[in-house]
Amino acid sequence: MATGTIMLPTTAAMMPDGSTNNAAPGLSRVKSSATAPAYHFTEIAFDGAGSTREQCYWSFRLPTDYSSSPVLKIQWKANATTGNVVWQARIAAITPADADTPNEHALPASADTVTTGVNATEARRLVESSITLTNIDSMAAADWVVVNLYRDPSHASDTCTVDAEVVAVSLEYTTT
Amino acid sequence: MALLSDTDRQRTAYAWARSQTEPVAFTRSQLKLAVDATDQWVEDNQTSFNTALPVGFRTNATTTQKIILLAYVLWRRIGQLKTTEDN
Repeated sequence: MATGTIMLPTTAAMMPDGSTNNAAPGLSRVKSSATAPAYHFTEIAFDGAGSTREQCYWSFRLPTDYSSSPVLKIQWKANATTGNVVWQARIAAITPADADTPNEHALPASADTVTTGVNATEARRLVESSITLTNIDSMAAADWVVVNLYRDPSHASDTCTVDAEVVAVSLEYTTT
Repeated sequence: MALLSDTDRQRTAYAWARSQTEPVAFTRSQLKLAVDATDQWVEDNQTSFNTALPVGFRTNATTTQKIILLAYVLWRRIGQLKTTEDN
């Protein structure tokens, strides 16, 4: 028994089509202010204004050593020194030959939530949030799974005025 | 020029938040209160602003033209208004 990690790269995130209830966060390239050379990275910016939930997805085959206790790790930052961001996540799972096809299966109705404050010392310092996932659709090793991550700026506990900029996401779990 | 509705004020706050490049040190609700206060201040001081305008402009410019003038002066003060002459 150990801890397994699945990297969910920002560049591999599937963005929804922008239709009603399917708003997508912005994916952008960021250039560091360092020199010789300035490294570049991608980030996913979840809107802090308005009342529209922005979300994205990662889909993959769950490793065969998956046993239990999935935790979503989100590394992010915000151009603010005050306020909280509420992250929410859930997982849909399909076992091969399930009656539901990948094209029709639904996400769990509820999501798991974590509320994390921005770094109060300096804007855009890296923050890490952990969501212990329980709304996981009874996922099991070798299932095809879809991880859904979103931010709802109208959530009462989400007080951060600006975008929450996600730079890394990973799914940790206990192995067999 | 009427006070903004609460929806308009909320959307003003949204637009403001999305336009920011400087770090913010206040929450979303504090920003909304600031929008409320700004809208009310404009309401309370529009007569004073109008009176301060020279008569030639005041009597001939439309309300919209006067508001654009005020906005332009403020934007120029913070470097947000660029003109072709600046290049």
